[in-house]
Order: sequence, then C-alpha cells, then structure tokens
Amino acid sequence: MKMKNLLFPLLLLGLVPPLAAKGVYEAPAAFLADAFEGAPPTPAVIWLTGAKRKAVTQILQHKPDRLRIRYWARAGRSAWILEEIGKEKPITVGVVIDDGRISRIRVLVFRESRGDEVRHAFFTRQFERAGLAPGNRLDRPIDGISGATLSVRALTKLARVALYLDHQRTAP
Amino acid sequence: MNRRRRHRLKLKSFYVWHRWLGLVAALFVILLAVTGLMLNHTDALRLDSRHVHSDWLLDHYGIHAPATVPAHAAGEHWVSQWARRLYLDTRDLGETADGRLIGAGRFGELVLIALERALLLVTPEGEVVERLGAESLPALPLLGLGRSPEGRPMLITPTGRFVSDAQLLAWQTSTGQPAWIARSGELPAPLRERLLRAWRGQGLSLERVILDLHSGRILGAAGVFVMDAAAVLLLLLAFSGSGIWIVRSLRERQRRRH
Repeated sequence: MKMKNLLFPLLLLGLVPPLAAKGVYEAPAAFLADAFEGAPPTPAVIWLTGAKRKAVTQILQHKPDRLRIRYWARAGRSAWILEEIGKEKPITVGVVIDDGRISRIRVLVFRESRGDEVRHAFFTRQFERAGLAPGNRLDRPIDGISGATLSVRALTKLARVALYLDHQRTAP
Repeated sequence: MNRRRRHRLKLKSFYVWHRWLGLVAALFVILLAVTGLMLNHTDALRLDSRHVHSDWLLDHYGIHAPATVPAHAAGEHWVSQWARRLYLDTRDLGETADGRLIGAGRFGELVLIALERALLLVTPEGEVVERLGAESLPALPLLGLGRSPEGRPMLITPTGRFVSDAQLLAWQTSTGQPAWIARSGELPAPLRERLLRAWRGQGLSLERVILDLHSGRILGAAGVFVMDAAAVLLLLLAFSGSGIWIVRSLRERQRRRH
C-alpha cells in the first residue's frame, strides 16, 4: 500500500498529527499595499479611552490589550490590522472598510494549531458588504464552522471592532 | 476434604485476592476520578490560567532560569526578557514572538521597548499603548534603539538609521549620529530574584500538572507504566468481580433447586 493510501486511516486513528494550521498567510505590509494600490498612506491612531474603550470592551468581551489602535485611511477607505485571541494565541486579521462597509477581510497570521478554516474565502466572503447594526453588531448573520468556533468568534469580533472604530473615525 | 469444600476454599481465596486488588485499585480510581473530573471542567476551574508556584514541583519539571536574561534600564525602570516573556520592572507584559530584546528607553511619559521584529510602547505602569510590527516600521530586524539629538526615537537597522515623529507614525532616514543608544545592563539582584520566582511560576499551569497526574507522566516514563498497570488491575478486578458474581449466582441457583 502506498504511503498516501495509509495517511487517511492513520489520520482517523489520530496517529498522524494534522498539518500545521499556523502560518503567515499574508504579510501585513503586503495587505496594506494591496488595499491602497501599492502606496499606503501615513497611519493615524485612535485612542481607546472613555466610551470607545467601553464599546470595544463590550464587543471583545474583555478589555482591549492596547490603548491605541493604528489605522490607514484615504478618502472613504480605511484599513485596520487587528488581533484577537482565538483559543490561546492571537489571530492577526486585516480589514478594509469602504464607506462604512467591509470590502475585504483576511486572516494575515494564524498562530493556533486548529481552526484555520476561517482564512478560506468561503468563510471570509460572508463579511463582504457587512455594516454595523444597532448595538455594534454586524447587520447580517455569519455562519460558523464546526471545529473552528473560537476562530469564527474572534474574526466576527474583529470585524465589529473595525466597523465601530471606522465609524468613530468618521463621526463628526 | 470433599470436593465441595475444596471448591469453597478456592472461591474464598479468589474472593480474598479480589478484595486486596480492589483496595489497591481504589487508590488509582480515586486519583483518576478526581483528576478526570477536574480535566472535564478545565475552563470552569480555569486550570490553564492558574499556575503552580511550588519550588519542588517547578524543579521536578526542570523549570530553571534561562541562561541569559537581556535587560535594559529605561529611566528608573527595568525592562527584561525571560525566555519569551517580557517584564517592565515586575509587571508581566506577556509572551512575545517578536524576537530578542534589543533595547529600551524612556521617551517622554512612555517607555519604548525594541525587540528584533517589533516596537512596544508601554506606560510606566506596564499598560501596552501600542505594538508596532513590520507594517509600521521602516526596516527589520531592529539592531538597536537610540535617541536623536532632538530627543526623538531612533531605530538602527541593517539598512540604516530612522528617526520617528513624536507619535511614532512616520519614519525618516537619518544620517546623524544618535545622542544616546540603549545598552544592556545587569538587573538589580532583588529585582532579579523576584522576577525569577514570577517567571518560574508562569512556566507550569495547573492543567499540565493535573494532566500529568491523570496519565502518570508526572513520574516520568515509569509513571505511564504504573498507570498501565493500574488499568490492567482494573480489568482484572472487573473479570474477577464478574467471575465471583457468576459462580455465586450459579451456586445459589443450584441450592434453590436442591
């Protein structure tokens, strides 16, 4: 029997560890360059203090791990590189927002050993054109992936944070 | 001695063996049941976020101080890196995957910490203001952290020196010499001692110890065989217990017939 024929039964028996899910899928700098046609603008920062800190804490269900968030914006477009822990390690996610709606969301760095299905287009496509609904929720449901619940939750939270902060950035 | 009596004695000795085996196995059953229950409720009991501070257990697991502990003074504060964990004085800044500690310095109200692949901006109280990764830095890896004659943060990289604006948002190439460069130092002995205890304590979660107790691995390779022996013992008990029950119920049935 060839090795590849053996692999599936061995995987079923748990004798072969699954291929590592972790890795850098897109360098954050490349994501930004792609979002702004090769020339990202100078970044700006938004401080997470007062009401903003409270709202972000409510979305993340824990205090944010930093006091200010960096973003890149030009015209109606903004790009955010955010991190949230899936189960144990942070997942780095890039979000591009056009006029208050998500136009692109990508998993840039995945450090967990499981749950990397969230990086695939079949999942991230669900966020396209999503906006913010009352209560800082997404205006559409996001279907989960069995076995990747915590990663799905992390990505959904980050999409909400990006939309909320973008709204704060543009609010008069 | 008639046949029936011999049979009774044999059964009695079998029962005595079963009883003694049961007593030994009870210790393992208690251990497995208690640790198993705890592991089934890891999240509720927060076993993964609780850490063991017992010196002998930490020694048993071979958790000792790292060979080198890079440290930098930042004003009146000390930044040190214990394996992958960063500390500002005794404040735990968490683990970092951004490489070796390159330098640290006080910039205005804040402390700037340079690692090989990131820059951390923290308050003197140890709250992270921001982490600047590759997308926000002019070049990597960072080789040194300095201060320009104007008091601005200066990064030394393989492709040159870069000076930032006051907000650390934009970097410009600099040809000037830094007015100051971060140099590593020796942690004060009392601080080193406190950090050693804190760092060792972070190295061993309660979940790891409970898991190892459950599998027997806490005693090393021999412990696994001890737990294997316990499993065989439980199997023997199950068979001997069932055997005793079957023989007794058969005898009971025979007695009723007569």
